[in-house]
Amino acid sequence: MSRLLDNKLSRRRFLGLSSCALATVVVGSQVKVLRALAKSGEVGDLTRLPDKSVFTSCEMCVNKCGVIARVRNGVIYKLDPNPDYIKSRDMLCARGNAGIKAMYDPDRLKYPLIREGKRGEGKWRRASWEEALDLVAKNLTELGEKYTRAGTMFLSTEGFQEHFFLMLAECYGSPNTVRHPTLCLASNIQGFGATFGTNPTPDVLNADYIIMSGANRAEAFITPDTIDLLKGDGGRRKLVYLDPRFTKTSAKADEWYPIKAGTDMAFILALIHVIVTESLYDRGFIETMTVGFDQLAVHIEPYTPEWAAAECDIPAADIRRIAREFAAAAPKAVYYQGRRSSFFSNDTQMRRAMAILNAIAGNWDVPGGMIPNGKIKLAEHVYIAPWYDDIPDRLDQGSVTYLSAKDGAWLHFRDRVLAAEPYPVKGMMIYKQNPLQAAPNRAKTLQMMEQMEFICTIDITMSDTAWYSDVVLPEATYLERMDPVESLPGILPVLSLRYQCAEPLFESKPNLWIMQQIAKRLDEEVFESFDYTIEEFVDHQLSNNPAAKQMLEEKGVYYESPTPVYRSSYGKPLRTKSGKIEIYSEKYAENGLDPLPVYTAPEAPPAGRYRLLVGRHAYFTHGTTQNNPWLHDLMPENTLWLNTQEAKKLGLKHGRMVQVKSPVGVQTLKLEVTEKIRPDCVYMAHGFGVLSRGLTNIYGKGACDAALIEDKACPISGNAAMHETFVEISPA
Amino acid sequence: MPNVRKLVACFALLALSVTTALAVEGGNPKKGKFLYKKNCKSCHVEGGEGKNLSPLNKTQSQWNRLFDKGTHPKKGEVWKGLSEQDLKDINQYLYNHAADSDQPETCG
Repeated sequence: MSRLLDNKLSRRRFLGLSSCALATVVVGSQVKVLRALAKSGEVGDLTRLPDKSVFTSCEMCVNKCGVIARVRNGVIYKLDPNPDYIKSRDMLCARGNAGIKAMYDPDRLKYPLIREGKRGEGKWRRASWEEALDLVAKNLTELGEKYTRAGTMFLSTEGFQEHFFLMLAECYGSPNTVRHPTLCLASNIQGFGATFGTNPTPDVLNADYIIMSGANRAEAFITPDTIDLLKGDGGRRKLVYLDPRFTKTSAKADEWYPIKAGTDMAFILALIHVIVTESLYDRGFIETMTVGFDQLAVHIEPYTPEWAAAECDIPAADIRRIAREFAAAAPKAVYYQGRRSSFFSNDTQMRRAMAILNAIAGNWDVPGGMIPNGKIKLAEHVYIAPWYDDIPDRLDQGSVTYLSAKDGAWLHFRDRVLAAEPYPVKGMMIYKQNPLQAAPNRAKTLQMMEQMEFICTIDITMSDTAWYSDVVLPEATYLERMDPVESLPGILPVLSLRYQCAEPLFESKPNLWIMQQIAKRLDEEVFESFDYTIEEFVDHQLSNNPAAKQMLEEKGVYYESPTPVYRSSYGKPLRTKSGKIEIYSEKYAENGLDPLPVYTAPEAPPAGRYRLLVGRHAYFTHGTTQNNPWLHDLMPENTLWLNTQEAKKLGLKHGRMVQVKSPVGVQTLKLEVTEKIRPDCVYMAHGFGVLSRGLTNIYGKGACDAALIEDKACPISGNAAMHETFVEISPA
Repeated sequence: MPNVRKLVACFALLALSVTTALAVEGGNPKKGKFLYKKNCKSCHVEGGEGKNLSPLNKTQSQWNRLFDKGTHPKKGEVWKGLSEQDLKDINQYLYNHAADSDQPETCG
């Protein structure tokens, strides 16, 4: 194996001239005021005041809301929202508050562990960091020699320290990073990206008319959208919501339609039909900013509201009225695309339909419309990974039309590992990802893991995936470490910085330290890219922006404008081939894809079976927070929602245990008989039915949806399709 | 015949991967990324001698035009140490990740 590396970036060059470390920043003023009030008798008991308050940002979900940690005697006793953190609007949700329990959780990983028994048997030996890290490095080296360095896959998900994990993959030499987007919103990004050149953010606060399908914003939180959905209301806002379930968002909506699952595209195409045929679109905008409207006008002819009504179970008169109302409210009207994972394998084209509807309403980059995300620049971290001559392309190369080189296509990748085609993958390094809960068809994921020669997981709890690993390394929680500055893009772009709030408990370590230790053991050249402290890294990121550094220290956040900036994209070419909004996609046509979205009806549930729906819950983030003691108290197990009439037909009573069977698995859980779901569907919350006995609150509770969902995917983006599985229900 | 089947599958995959984006014949984008970081990013960083650069700074055709000229636009001598193949590799990497490329945005 030959290597070329003769022009390294030196540590000194990376860090630049100014490398004075950032001191831990404490929020002092509020404490002083409280002390003064205590002296005057206006507040009592001084002993209850924090002796330190530290800015951080939440890691209980993906939103990164602003937090102030209140600390007394080195112990965090309360988390408060940061009022200056404009993205989260001075809000911290139930999960955010329960962040304390992520740190002070008896179930958290405390020490490095090495497997003693069979995989999944749960026999572990406490190891020193030295021994565990040596074992990881030894295996990575041996796997590289046997299978090339592409023979180890690196699985991770978003987080402020993920950067270092991805760097390790690159410096080690594996092209096979497999991230979360194809279990998340890859099809969304693809559909909107093909139309606008980017995936924009709806201006929820200022929109007068919002249509949401499937995006359950009142429970599946996105900040600031969830807050703005209510805040921006004031009586003028209309929210139309489509979902086969009656969710909390249904309760907050002006109109709720229990749409037949998988028919959203028919509804959207019919809205476009009305707007085009009645000339309700923004003609001037279409002429100057878009390409392909003429082809759309022809394409849309057969998609009448009457046709859509039969597909969606939504009355034609309502579709027509909603289209007219939407057009009348435009440009302050948005068809909200949400961030949900894909439900059907035509998801990219369904997203294209959403994007096209937004485009003809002329709502691009104006108040209440679709806004391209702003992003604040940080100094770039330039590092040079060593070059290895013998590394093949990604394992999943060519598996989908548009493959992300950074993210891969999860289900396609797993199939190729199992087929060992075009080459074998025998090692797994995992950071924060939990595929045994996240990826459809759990049995297949287990099969993939069984054929691995080595698996190492870095996490804060004994996830199912950690439970099936060979080495488990305990990461410090977000409250116990300083993280790199993160530039969060969006309608209100901010810089976010986590200061360390408390010392790491037990022997947990920040991921940077873990990566440095592995890199050091692999190779001196690999370590070269990791040779700095976190404070030095942060200093470098902010080296071109002293104002940001100051505001982060004083307010725990940095922003350039407290309100959205509109029309910044006007007068510049968009990131599409034509430089304009592409209603008709020439690029798709060239790749043999439908250049305009073509509707195909979803398969109907066979007799005696129900479509299994997935969905979000306000207490839980994917499969990660169900075991948190406070959140567990709110919902100790999941249930199977079944419509009242159907339960009657099957002779099943509320509260009894039922068996749910799909073509790929069987699960057992409690039945919830309810009017809140269509008769042709059933639903269960995600994240239960765990395999890990290290999650003591939820082990043995509820059922796992990943064990039931079949592995189907969008061929354009690779995104997993979560709603194409039919299940049978029987008494357990 | 399993080995032959394997070989055919490999060629099929290779064909798919190269037809997705081809700027210049024979450019290796992975090698190009390495060479770009090693050679270009030594100057093209914020506060560096050259303007800060990323593949997103230009469209695919703009990158191709730049490399078609065969010399560095500002400092002719800096490309002299690079072989024709090196330049093809760098061009391919920049083309594949250009502002209007097929490489999708990511999440997180």
